Amino acid sequence: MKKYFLKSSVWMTKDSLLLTLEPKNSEDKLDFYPGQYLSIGFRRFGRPSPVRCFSIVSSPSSNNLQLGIRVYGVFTKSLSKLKPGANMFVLGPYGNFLIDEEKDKNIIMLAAGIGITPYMSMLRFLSEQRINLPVTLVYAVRTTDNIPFYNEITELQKTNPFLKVIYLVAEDIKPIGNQKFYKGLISSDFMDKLTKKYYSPYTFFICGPKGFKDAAIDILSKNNVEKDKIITEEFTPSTQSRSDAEGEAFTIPKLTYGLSFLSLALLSAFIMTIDLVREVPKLQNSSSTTSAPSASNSSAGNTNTNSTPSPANSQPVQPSSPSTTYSQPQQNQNSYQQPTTSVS
Amino acid sequence: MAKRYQEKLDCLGSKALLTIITANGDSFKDKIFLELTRQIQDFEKLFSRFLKSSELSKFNIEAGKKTKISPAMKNILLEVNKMTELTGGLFSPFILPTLQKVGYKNSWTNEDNIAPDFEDRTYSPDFRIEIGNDWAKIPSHSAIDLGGIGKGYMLDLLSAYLDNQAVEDYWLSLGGDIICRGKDINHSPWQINISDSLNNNLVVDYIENTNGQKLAIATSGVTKRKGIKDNKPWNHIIDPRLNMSVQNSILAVTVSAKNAELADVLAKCILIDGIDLAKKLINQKKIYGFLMQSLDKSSKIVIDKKKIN
Repeated sequence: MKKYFLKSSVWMTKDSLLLTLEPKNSEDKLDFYPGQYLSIGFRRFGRPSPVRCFSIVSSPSSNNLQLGIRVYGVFTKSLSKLKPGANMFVLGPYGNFLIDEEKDKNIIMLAAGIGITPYMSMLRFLSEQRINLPVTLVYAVRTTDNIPFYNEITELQKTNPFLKVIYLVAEDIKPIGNQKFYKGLISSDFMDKLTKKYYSPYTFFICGPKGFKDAAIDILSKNNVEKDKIITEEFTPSTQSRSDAEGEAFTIPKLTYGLSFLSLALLSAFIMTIDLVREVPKLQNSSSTTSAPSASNSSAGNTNTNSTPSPANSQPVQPSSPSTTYSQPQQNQNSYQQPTTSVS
Repeated sequence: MAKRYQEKLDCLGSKALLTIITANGDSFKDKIFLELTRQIQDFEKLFSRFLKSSELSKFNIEAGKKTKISPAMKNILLEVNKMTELTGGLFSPFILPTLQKVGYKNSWTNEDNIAPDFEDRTYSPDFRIEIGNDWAKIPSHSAIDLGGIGKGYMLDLLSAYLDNQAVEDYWLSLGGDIICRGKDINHSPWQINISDSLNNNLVVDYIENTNGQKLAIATSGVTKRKGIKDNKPWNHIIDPRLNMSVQNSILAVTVSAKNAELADVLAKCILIDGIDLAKKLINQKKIYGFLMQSLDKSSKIVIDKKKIN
């Protein structure tokens, strides 16, 4: 278990939060691969909170950890109210949603909604390290309002000539600059156009809600894409992954991780339920989800939204010392912008 | 009661942000912003190399001849010569043909604008601008670009205007170069964030004008305005000694100095020449501080800095 503290908490959209965690000591820094996830917990009412899994957004080269979170339930709402400086504990990393540079020579990343998070770590890492790996990111969103990481992806496109981004918008398209948006859902026609019906050179990564993931797998399977070229994100260690596809599933360490993880999650859920029973009268919004959320990653299959965060929550703290942190959220183009010097 | 006002506009191929604090009311604010905007737009019309009709483009077309120039053009050309001398030629306006040859021909923000083509012109580190009373001359077959100094020079002009108007608290930004003076609305110093060279949304550090003094900050880097031409990567920072895009491990350099022109020019020079020049310039008190983002041998970003607010 690694000890971290909350460095900043920034609303990226009305219901998605970017947390930046800083290790308490240098030995607490978590080593991970881009695309992995971890579980975090904190102390709540003097007790350890439940742990929940979240994709890592930051690049492994960063000292701080960043996590993208959709705020939809009790745990994530509590998380969104934590003040900078709050102690956190981190377990992990987990997951095999990883790029294999030996095998993956041309990648198509299929993301939906907040399922973009593991890709952000990958894309940041590829750009930072200047790894010349052709990547096409297909980012499926419901509308063009409040696309998580939109600005950063736009910047990454400018700095990484090997990155191509295609936005697939299900509903409302409002123009943003010169950005092109494609209307529709993921479909055979779309994938045929994308690959020019030539699927074999690509490795496909899929992360998003179940419906999206199933649809994508179905299309790829019908086009005879080999199983080991379809990498899906699952947030419990026991599910499908690259190594599963290769017949290495359920090694002893994985099983141990899985059982420990499950036990911890159940115990945490139990404690949280007791806390909730005690605290229900204090909760203003008693009509929100009251059952403890399952230990699944917030980015998979969860489209619930809750109340808009208060402005106080959206303000990042001023850095007390020179350090890496996120700047002001850029949701409101009319808001005051802080002076920032950058490469232009 | 003092209020903070901010205006945003597109200019010089990037964004401008103008922020002032004044207790003189909305009409005063409107007057100030109108004048700042007018000055910026006039500057662009005169000195943009992306506009065929600019005085700079016409001046380049007349290379080799004594050409009548406006007082504004004369002033900036005098500054160009001063900076060339100060940097021992590390700053040169004559890199325009090279810039176009490597691939940076047209504006990145306005693709409709076709810049005059000077690709066939030549470059020499010995080229200088001759300046007379109301004329100037550059060697035939040469062409100059004011991109290396323009934003900083403009910021100093705007800052001088605000000082004359008794606006004591402000910060102005042109494409990421910043000049500030005074304090924020809550009487704290202005905090200037420094972005990660690979991700503008990330802030790697910040700098403050602790005592409310005038402070200029400029960042120069190779992570934007770059591309691949004939299978060779290029960027828009040209090393005048080698007459080619700079090729080293430095991604970006941020410099703080007493005025924006110095910060703008010297940030580029440090990007070209490296950290030893940065240290030398600090010792010579030509810059206050710097922050350098570069890649180490394992391609990780490292930061070297010496900050003096």
